[in-house]
Amino acid sequence: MIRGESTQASVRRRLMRLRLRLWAESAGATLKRLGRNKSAVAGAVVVTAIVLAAVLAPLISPYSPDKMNLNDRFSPPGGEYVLGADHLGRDVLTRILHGARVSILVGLITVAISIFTGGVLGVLAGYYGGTLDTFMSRLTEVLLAFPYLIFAIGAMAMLGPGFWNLVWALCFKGWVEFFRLARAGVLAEKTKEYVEAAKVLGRSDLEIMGFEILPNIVNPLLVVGTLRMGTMMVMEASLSFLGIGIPPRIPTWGSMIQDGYRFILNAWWLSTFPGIILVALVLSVNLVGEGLREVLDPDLQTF
Amino acid sequence: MRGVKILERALAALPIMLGVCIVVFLFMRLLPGDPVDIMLGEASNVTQEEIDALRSQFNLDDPLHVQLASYLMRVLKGDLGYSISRSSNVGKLLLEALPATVELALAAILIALAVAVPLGIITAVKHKSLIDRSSMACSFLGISMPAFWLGIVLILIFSVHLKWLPTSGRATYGLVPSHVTGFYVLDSILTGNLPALKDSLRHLVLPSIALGAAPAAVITRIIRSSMLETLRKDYVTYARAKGVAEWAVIIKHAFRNALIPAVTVTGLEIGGLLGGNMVVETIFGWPGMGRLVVDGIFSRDYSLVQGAVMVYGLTFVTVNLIADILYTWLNPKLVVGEKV
Amino acid sequence: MTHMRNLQRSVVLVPVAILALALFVGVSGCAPKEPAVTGETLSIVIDCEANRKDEAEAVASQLRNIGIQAEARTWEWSAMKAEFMEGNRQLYMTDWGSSYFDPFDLAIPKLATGERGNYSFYSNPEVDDLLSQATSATDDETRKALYFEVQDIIYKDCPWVFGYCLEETAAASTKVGGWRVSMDSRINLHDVTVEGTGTIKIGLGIDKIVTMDPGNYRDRDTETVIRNVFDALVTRTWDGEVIPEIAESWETPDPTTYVFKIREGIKFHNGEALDADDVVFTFERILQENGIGGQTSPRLGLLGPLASVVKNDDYTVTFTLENPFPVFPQALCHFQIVPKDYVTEVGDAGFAEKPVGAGPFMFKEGRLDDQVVLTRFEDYYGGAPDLPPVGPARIDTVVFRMMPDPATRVAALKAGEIHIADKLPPDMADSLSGDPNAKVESVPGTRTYGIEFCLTKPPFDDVKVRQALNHAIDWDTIIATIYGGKATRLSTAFIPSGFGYNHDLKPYEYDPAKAVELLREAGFNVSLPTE
Repeated sequence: MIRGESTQASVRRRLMRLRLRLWAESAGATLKRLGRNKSAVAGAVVVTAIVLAAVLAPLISPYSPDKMNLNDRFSPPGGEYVLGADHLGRDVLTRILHGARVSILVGLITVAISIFTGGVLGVLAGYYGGTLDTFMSRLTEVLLAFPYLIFAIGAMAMLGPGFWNLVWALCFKGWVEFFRLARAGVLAEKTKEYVEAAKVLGRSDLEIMGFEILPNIVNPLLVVGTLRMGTMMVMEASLSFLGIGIPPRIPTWGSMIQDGYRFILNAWWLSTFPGIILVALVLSVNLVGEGLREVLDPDLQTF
Repeated sequence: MRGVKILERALAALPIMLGVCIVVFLFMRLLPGDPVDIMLGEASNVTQEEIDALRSQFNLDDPLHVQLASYLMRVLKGDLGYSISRSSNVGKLLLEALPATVELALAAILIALAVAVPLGIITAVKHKSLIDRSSMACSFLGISMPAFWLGIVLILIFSVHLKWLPTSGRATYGLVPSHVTGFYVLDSILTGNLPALKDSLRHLVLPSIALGAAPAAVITRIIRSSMLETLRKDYVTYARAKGVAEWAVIIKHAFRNALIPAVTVTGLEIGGLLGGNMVVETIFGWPGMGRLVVDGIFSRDYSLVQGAVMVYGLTFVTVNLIADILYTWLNPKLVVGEKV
Repeated sequence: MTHMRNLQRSVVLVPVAILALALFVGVSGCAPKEPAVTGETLSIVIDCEANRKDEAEAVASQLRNIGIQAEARTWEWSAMKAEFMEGNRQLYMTDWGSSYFDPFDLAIPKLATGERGNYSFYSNPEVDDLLSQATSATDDETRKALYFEVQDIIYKDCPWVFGYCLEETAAASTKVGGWRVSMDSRINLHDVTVEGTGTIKIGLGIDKIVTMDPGNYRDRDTETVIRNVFDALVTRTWDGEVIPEIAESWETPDPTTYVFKIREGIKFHNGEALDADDVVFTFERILQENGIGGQTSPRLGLLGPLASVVKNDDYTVTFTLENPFPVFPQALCHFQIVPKDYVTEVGDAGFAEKPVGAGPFMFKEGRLDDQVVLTRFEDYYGGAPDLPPVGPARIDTVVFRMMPDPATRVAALKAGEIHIADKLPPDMADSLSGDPNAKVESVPGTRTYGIEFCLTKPPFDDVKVRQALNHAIDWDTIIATIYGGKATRLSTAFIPSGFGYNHDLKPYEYDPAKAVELLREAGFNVSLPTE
């Protein structure tokens, strides 16, 4: 008994070591191949720079984000304030740096929650079909039939202002799109030969879903996911355009663009700089995503 | 056979609509705030009797289940109720606003597709070329610019500085086509009113670009990535080796395959455009459903929001059904019932 | 191979997870926490609607300067109101408008115990008593003295952080002549001319107007349009004084009776002559339960104690009140006369579709949430003789366009698409200051803006804390910057354009040292800024 157990344990340990080594090797290989993709490297540099700036914001920003000097309002860029001062005399550069923290977080968390929930449910529903599928599809239809912003406005009105309330309001329907993409992918894949073959070989449903189908349908999820990160940040701006959002003391790029657009005729810098940085981040995230997609593309690996 | 399946799907929409109806009914009543209080605004000398009278006039003092039952009964009879905030029949308000919203959403999706389909194909074929890179940059620009900001920038450039296009509204006074369907473009064609056609098209350009920018970006990316994937598949390589012309490979194999995810995303985007255009409607002073419904939420106009969401629901179910039919056409292995 | 791929895929997740974690730790470490009231530090959340977000943030910043933990929050109005009416909030920015130019519809609803607009839960029997005396007093001197007394009391009691009165601001093309911004948010187009064209286009800052039926609305925006199609018995001068319009004159034989003599020869747009029957009909359809299309008029409450309207002869009408109501003539400015025969003939719904009035313009066509077109009424009797020019309107077509976004209104004015941009946020007036083709105008407004305390809970049940906060906010700077100087500081809740405002009562001075002293007396740990 003891011998048998220890054998099992040692097999397990060796397997684990093997996996770790494989993982490390593949990680190294991936990074190396990624390093050869110039645009991905450029994207990675920008993303890292923005994230670093966000993390270090309190140390590197010239002012405090809520430091207000009403007499300096609308100071143009280039003077005392590098990127100018906003309509309340706050430093635009400082607020962009601090705004990065909340904006990136809103984008990351909402997309992560949405992809996870939507992906898992979509694969299950698509693979098993039947009552689960019917129920989930009807549910998503009922949800989709509600305009997104109505949900968000209602949710914000019900929950009150705050960061997490915003995240919940945005996630509430965000997952539905990923559910439908995943489900559509599974439906298209599951009639294919390789799935049949795996079934004949006696692999479990979970293995087929996770190891056979998922890799083939994950690309559209990731592509839409990287795009949706930008959408979520922008959605936050739309909510503050309609009069609800997170507290004004916490800067976000979305609310900075929203605050600034009213003054675009006489102070373009208020909304333009946060707009540029938002585009730069979304673009870079997608360049990295694109690079990774190419490195990881199953078809490139097999052929 | 297919006809029966489609009919089945259409009938399956009924429980969805019932679900939507009940959910929105409860959703509105969960919101803090009272419609009568909002309607009275800052009126000072209001007595409690007056408030009670108004509440009972709008049936707000009945228990919830009674209100819901009577609402469902009225909906079945085709009566969507009375809008407190606009002193008018909800059905009439929605019928006026719906064509404006649908017209704008269709124009936006047409613009989006007109940009996205060729761009998606070209960027996939000319993978990693300059045009691929620059179109990628453009599509991220499209997606990361909030619609209100893009809208006001478009207005400033094309209306204020260049004076090419009108800033806002659906039509210039004097050029409103006579009412046939409520769709200005269609009405002006039907009545043969060329100046009105030109005018309503001019009014459509800016808001539909502002609204269509984000969907255009998403659809381009989806088409590009699915086509890239397909172009590397062995059957495509096989077709090429057999000497099939390159354009035929691209269109027949790659593009056709890319259409499935593209149809999914386009369907979703249309839903999003119909229900998510309140920001663009506000900026461009467009008299559509989005503004109606946001105003309805803020004034807790229960009947109005309920009616509007029902209409959104119906539109969505219809778009869905069309997407369904398209799927089976694109991939005959699927049956209509297995909708995606 | 598949395993290999999946392993590689997980590589993506690791840096993403690390970044997310790093960010999250960074943000949660620095994000302001929900302040809680403690014995030592004074923590305040200031609630506001999105339109006052900047002001709230400026106020919070000034409070933070003296060591108060202050933070602003933006809400949707009804959600916020529901919260503070439950007593769950601390300090909330509110405003209230007066349409009667009298404390009757401002001070009473805001300050009398248990009134609808009394969001601070202020209750002072002395004030209640003074206000109710002032409502029924008939002599203006007595009323004024009573209101002065009220102002003295609430000045000391500080139920609010007293704020300011925002000016009504609008902009017009320089081609527009004879145009003025009016205090009661009416756009009087009767006197307006436009150089080179007979059509004037106006961008209204609203989503929609409710109706074209003068008996079936309760908001000011709708009235803006309706008052160009319909006239009332009386109207106001630019200074808010009531003068005859459709009425020729009126008498008040006793405080509860008003006898109006109606001008002869006035015609409605359909040619029908206006006489006493139309006046009686106008008021009866509002007084009567379910009087308009099966619904009771939302304007009923505005008539106060009006008991009956009786025709004496073809051109004389007697209004009888249940009790004295000195602002009755002010109220009548808002009740436009409708044609009895026409309304009876086409019904209430038909009337709202095709309204007919006796005003300077006729309704032509339009959609209430898009654009409404009016044309000149050639047989117009001329309007109030005390408000020249008298005669038909000078322009022939009016187009009201609903343009809810202020930036679009400014852009449309610059593009020459509209001639008047209504309701300009004061801080956006700058965008037009360099434009030679536009002029910006403003007049004192009729709304009081303040920040109300929740008086039922600590710390604001202590008058010292309330006075301290009144001293701690530098309103003059806020007004000069955020509101572009287009606001007047108020000493209490009363407004200068209304009756009975005490101009000698000076607003609380900005005095952080005094604020700190008062807060320390109340037991809070605050300090003057070191800078």
